[in-house]
Amino acid sequence: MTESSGHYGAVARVSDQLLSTAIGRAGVPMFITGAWDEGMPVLWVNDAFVETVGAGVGDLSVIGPNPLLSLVDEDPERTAAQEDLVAGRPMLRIVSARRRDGSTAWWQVSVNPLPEPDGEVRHWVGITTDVSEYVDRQAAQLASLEVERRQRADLDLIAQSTELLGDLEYPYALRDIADLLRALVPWAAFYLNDDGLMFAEGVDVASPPSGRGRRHARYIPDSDHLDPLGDVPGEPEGLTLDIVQDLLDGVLDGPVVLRLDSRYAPHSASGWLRRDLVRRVVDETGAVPGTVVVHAVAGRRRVLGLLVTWTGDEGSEAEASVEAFEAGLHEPDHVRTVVEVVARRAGTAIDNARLYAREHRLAEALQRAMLPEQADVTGLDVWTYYAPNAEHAQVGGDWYDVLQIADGTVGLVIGDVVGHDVEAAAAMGQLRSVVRSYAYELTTPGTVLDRVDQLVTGMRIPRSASMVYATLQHAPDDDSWAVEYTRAGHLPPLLLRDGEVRQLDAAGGSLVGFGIQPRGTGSEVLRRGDVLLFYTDGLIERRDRSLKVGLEALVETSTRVTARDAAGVGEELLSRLADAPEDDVAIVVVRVPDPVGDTQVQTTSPRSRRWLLPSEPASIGRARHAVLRTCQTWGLAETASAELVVSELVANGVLHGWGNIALRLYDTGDGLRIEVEDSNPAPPVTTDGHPNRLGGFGMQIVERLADWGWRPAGSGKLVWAKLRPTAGSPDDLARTQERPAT
Amino acid sequence: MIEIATSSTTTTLVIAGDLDLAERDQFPEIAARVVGLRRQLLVIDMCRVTFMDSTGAAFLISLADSGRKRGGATVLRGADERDLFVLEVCGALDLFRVDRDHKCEQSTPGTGVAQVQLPQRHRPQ
Repeated sequence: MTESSGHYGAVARVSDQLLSTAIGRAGVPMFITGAWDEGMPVLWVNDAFVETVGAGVGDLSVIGPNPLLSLVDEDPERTAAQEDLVAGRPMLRIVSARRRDGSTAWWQVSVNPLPEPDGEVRHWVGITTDVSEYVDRQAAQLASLEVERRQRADLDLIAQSTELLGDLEYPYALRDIADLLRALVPWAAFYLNDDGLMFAEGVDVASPPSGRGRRHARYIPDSDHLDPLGDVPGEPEGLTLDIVQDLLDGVLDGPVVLRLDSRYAPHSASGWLRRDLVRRVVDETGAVPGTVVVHAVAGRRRVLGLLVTWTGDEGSEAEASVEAFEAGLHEPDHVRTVVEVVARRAGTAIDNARLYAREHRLAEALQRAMLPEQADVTGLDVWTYYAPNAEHAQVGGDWYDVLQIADGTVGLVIGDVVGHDVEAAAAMGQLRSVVRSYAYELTTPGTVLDRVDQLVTGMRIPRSASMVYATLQHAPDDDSWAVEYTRAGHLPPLLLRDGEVRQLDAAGGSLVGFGIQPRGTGSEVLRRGDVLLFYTDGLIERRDRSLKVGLEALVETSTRVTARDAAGVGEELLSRLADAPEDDVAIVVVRVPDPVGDTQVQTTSPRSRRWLLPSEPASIGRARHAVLRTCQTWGLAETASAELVVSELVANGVLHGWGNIALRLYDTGDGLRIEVEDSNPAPPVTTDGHPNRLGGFGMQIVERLADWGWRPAGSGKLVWAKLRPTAGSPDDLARTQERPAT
Repeated sequence: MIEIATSSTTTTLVIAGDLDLAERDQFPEIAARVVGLRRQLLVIDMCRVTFMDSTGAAFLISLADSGRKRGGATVLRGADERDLFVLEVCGALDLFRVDRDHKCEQSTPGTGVAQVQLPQRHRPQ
């Protein structure tokens, strides 16, 4: 200590009298107390102390031991400071105390020991400084930081839950959102009312937009914590109102607080929810909840479910919780706001997902029913192509039909309803049925079209349409086909023979439904190797050229076609003409196979083929058929493997894909490359498969026979497979008649 | 097309045409009928099968599997090498006794392997 030297130094310049006056008059409150053991009685205070605190030595002496403590309101560091005092060490602490005028202020109190010569501390000198301004500012800063942090956390939580709601196909979307909410409250969960309340970890988007159900009876395992409060059937007395049902019915807006220690009617929403909640909360947290807060998850028209949060009270506190809830003190404001926002967004998202799924299913089913069909025709090589231009729909105004009317008689329709919107598709669907029914009944095309005209005039189909209807009749003697056709305002079919192209432009007439004069019938004979080409204007129509120029381009392109199969002819036309179609495109290529000529001529036709197949099981067989024929045309040996791989890939597309399936084949020079494209972006999976589950082994078969992969394409995906000519493939097996080592 | 014939000990399943996803709808009913007959031996005649993929294989496997659970056996007759390959990839050859000596009455266009004639291969409905 330097006290003594300082003391003497001060005395050298300042008298004791002056010193005591100076301390007495100092602007800072000061005091001297007795020893700790004596209860630190206040022995002296200066003027500033009296002025500030409003009490002098006399006032303080009547209070008893530790009189200064009685002035203190808040004393966050008391324990540590008292330890210093007991040990005789200087002490510094910040306390809050009242000023004389009654206002509260923060004081920094510094108390130093004044040791006697024997080392005993019998007196302390204290100085207090008003630090209110500093403390308040710091507190304000901390508080605003905390508010900011909380707001950021809340916003983050809402953003994360919104992101989760963006993908309700994910089966645990709701569970993950509830997990997020558990950062705010001890427990949270979603319930959906799909024919009665059910605990929900995700949303079954395939189920219809619900919120229906007033009887809640899904099975809940027993829980020990429910007794003796079981729902007593047939005992209406003492039952509590079913507020949860009111919330579901939209009678209450919510949120509501649900007491879990009350009795509710059996199968009531509140009763069911109480039983399910108690069991779950006890299982997950170990505590028996007293009340829960229930928010409605509202869709557009009705409440779809509930978002339930537990704020952490125990069963015995239920009464108090309800009161606190009603007073708005149950949980911090921001918690309620966040839960409310999450519940509202969840409601909208679930509603949207379910409505979308319903519309999607409806559209898919209706469109599939309207898709063109191609009958397999014995003795003819037929290739069809159908590409509606509308991105949102699988059907447009164009259509074709290939009908096996009788043995050796084939009906062929190609048509185009004006426009390519939904109304055009609907008109197409009607018109197609009309043409079909008459096609099966009557044979001569002119007669068929006359009848179609009559009916269409009466049906008031809102769109005009053009079409060609043709019949092909087989003459077994020379394997020729007699063609009869009639045209209603449609572009002429083309006949390709030995590098010459002829337009079948006889029997022209006005649009369907405007047949004022009887329809004519043109005729032609198809020989082996001949190709008939039916098409809609989408194939040739471009904004930058007239239809006439387009038709000339088509004729010119057709003369250069060298392919010896219908798919090859179609491929050559598409690759040269339909790069950027602006309208729907429908094409039918009919070729009479030439068993002799087809094998002799080597063609320069490109070794790639494509087909568009509707998403239906019958397409799998057609795809196999297509690959088989293509392999034969290209002289490829791996037909058995190719058939198998195509079958598996297309089956996957039919099972899991949406929309049309595009099949493409390429001869790469060292193996066939198969591409299957569908509109489902989810990747294909190889599963371990299970004997009792169908379809688990498809990709394993592909894997054994081919290198394969996939990539996103358009709105869906493209799966490709390149056949591997290796030992163990069925083709190899067929040659060697040996089984592979297993 | 799938036909079922029975004797006192044997159920014979004669399958014709394609055995793929397009035929799947009839599988459960046939499986139920075969199981209901409770014969010790199930013979699956594949002579007239034109094509079988993993869906078809899964059907045969489910038949053989339920037979084995009752202590019965399943014989596969007239299956071509590709059919056996598919069953082998599915890890199910052990479930079948493969009758390799069987001579099919009517030589059918087996699957694959350029036996198929243009313009159109035989496609039973």
